[in-house]
Amino acid sequence: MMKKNHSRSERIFRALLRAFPFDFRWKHGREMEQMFRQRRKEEERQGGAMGTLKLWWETLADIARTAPREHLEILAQDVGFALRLMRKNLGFTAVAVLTLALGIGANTAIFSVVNAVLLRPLPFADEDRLVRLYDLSHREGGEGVRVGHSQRNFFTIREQAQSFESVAAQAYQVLSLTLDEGPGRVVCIGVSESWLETLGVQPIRGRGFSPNEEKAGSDSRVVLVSYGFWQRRLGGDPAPVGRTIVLDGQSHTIIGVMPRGFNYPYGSEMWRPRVFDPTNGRSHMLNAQARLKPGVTRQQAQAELDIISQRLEREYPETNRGYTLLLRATRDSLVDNNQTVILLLLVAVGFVLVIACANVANLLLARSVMRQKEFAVRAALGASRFRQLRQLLTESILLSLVGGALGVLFAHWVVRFLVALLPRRMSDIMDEVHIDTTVLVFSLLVAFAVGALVGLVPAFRVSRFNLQELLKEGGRSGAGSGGHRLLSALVVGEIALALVLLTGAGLMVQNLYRLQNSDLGFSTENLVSMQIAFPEATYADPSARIIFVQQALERVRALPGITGAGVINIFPFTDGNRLAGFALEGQPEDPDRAPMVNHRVVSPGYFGMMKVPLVRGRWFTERDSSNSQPVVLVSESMARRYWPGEDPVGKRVRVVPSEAGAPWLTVVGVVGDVVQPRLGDDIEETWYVPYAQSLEPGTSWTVMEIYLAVRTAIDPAVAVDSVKRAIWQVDKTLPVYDVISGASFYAETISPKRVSTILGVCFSALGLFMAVLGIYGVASYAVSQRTHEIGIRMALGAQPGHILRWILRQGILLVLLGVAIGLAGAVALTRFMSSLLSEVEATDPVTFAGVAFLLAAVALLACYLPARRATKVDPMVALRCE
Amino acid sequence: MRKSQRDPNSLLPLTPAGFHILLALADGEKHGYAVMQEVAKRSQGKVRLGPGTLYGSIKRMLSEGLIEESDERPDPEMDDERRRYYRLTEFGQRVAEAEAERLAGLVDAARAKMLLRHLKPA
Repeated sequence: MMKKNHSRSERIFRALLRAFPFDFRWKHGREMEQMFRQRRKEEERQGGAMGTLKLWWETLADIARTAPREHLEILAQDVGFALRLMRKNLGFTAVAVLTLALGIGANTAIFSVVNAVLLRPLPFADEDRLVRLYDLSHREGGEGVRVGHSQRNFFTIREQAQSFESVAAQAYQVLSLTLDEGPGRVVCIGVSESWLETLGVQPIRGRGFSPNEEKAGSDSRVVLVSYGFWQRRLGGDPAPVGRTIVLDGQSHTIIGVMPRGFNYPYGSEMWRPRVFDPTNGRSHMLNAQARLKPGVTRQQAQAELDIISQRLEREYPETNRGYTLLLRATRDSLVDNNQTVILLLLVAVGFVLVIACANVANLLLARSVMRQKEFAVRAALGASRFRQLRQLLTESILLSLVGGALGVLFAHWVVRFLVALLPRRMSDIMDEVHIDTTVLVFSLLVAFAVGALVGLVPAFRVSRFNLQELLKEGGRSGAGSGGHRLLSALVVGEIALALVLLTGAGLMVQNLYRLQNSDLGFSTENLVSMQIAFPEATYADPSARIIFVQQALERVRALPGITGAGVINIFPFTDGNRLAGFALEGQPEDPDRAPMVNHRVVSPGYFGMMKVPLVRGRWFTERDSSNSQPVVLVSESMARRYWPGEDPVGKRVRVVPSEAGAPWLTVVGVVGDVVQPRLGDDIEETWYVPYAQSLEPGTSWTVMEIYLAVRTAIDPAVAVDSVKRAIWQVDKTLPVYDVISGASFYAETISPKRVSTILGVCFSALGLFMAVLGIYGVASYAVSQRTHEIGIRMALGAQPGHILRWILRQGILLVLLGVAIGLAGAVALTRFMSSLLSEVEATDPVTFAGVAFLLAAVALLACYLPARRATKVDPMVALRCE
Repeated sequence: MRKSQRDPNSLLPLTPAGFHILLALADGEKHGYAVMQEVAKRSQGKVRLGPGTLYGSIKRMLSEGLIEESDERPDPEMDDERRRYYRLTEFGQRVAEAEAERLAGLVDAARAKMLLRHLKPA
């Protein structure tokens, strides 16, 4: 019994000894056990149970105090040694550290975007219970298009749905903000009752809306402002609450400041109460969200919405037929536009990192072969295998940590570059992208993992070295066939990954190139566009808007250097759209199956200025006014589709469902097709109605935001100020914003694509560069290892050509294998890119072939250089090397 | 050889554990447990060197050249297990002397300041 007890406590003690480093244990473990055993006997003799307890207490405290110290001592030794080694081989260190810095830095940068956009919690309480609500329009067929709610649908859900704790809606509005430097524009969100409660947010300063203010709507004259607005536009005023600002000419009181990072929905700066109309079943303009009751699942809530939507359709067939209700998790609704591209970039940088790792592992492996003697000597001096492994790992992790630190700096720079590339609109979100603790922890972990990974490859090889063999072998060291196989495998992997990266980037470049060079149907040269928003307070009357547009265009056209000006409701370089269902005269009208066209409202002179060709008929003129016959211009594609083989001029069409008897519009001409690049291939057919006629009730919707576009004979950027001044001469309260000119059209409109393409190209270039470096390194190494063999072959009469082919053959084999694997990988992976590619197939054979050729050529060049060097080997020198 | 040329003062002051160990080995070689016992006895049980402290110090003193391993043999007073014995090197001896002198100097200073009234001079 006693004996058993003893052996148990000794076993425990032996287990505790594992806290010490292996070498320490190996050297002193047995003595320590002896000592413990002896003391235990002694204590048992003297103090019994209390003594044993005391002994354990002292022993545990002793181990806890001394074991870390032993580890630290070894670590300090290893780090010191590693640092000396790094200093001694500065070239090696620089290459390894830079390679790792690029790999880790690229990952840190993209991860910081992932962190900000996909991972960071939304600024809402209990976001799991938060859902977005939509009307789902089935009018265009397919799976349906998500649109906003009609106001009546929103109120119906709010009254009838039992699944929700609360339901709230908001509508987007652009207001003019009077500032010292001229009228500015601010995105203000009109919110329904209990909006803040539904989202689960509270102002950080001041208060939310009171029930009375919510009932009064915009008449309450109170606003909440975003943190960014407070900081930027109010200069971080220490007392923002209670300040008044002038919006649309009316003074409003700031009652609170929202938390930092809260810009919901997307880029908002200001919120105020708004009253919605429960009887309006038409325009689908409301964005609504709801908070699920605890325990209610999204599926249950959706099932309830389905019932409500059937009820709505029965009750209001003319407005609700063809619509159902849909619910999605708020997070999904916020990220789905960016998710694919960000995840793809993450995969791309992951590949870059793997290539970087392979390269550094290659370097370390080659170096470990050179250091075989050093390891053998150490082992002979008593360093255990474990101790050697530990030292090698310390070296590689140190390299990787230094690389990681540099990488974080690099990432910081990349993120700034990214933010600068993006249009201002998107930098709101990018403001949130920075290197925070989460990102730093990520980078640290990556650096650690990378260090351990690249260190393990040579470490395991070292630990397999046969000591005696090595010491006997004398000076000549060789990696042996195992080492070569490992090097070759790493190179093949690198080539394959680089090929996948290049293919992805190649597809993106092709896509962007075709996008930029596609014929848009108009000229972008010397073109400037800017947006103008009419405040509802002063421009509720349509004639006020018509008069403003006429006067503004007159003044702008009179400016020197301006060759044309026009106004349109949706400029081709935006992603907005407005569709209209219509009917042809003489054909049955079915509101459910009415064909759709892009609805555009333009001023006279717009087409001439844009250089859109007139195919037949006539342009709009100033005579097409609210008093004259309603007219319409149709695009060529619309003419082709609805009047095939006929002349559409003189035909009549009208909007359906015909609210209050929409008038018939007479087609007066056909114009060329205009491409709106960001809309993709939705609907090509477009009609245009004159601005002066569009504002009549019943004809269409009111147009409160317009684009003014001008063509200049001078530098467009120079013309902008005079154009703005001309507008403000007509009305000095109007906000003019989003000025885009000339070459920056593409930059602004397709910049998310452009940015991801630039990044894709950078990453794949990095991947290619590193892979080629890897191949070059391995080929050079192989040649240097075989100098002796080459010497013998040449001494035996081999021609330089033979040697060259012999070495190249081995390189070609690796390259081809890598290319084959890479092509297979690319075919598998580019499928995930197809949603990003509008202009090119994801399996575009030209891209695949081109990229494979490019990579193979560069890789072969990397093999050729060392091979050629091999042919210069002097047989005598090579043999004397012995 | 090189060790004997080193200045013993470069290692001063020693850690309390280190000096205790040197002291214990001053009158002949001992194994670890015996060192621990002697230290405990001399300090009336106040200083109990735990295994980690003892062998951590031994490891460092070995590498400093203060002590060396003599041989491994059973201790007739204990059991039949083989034990590793340690002894002072010449350098260790000089370091121990230097440390003792340093401490003696401190004690003299304390005495001069009348801090040791209740202790008789040696």
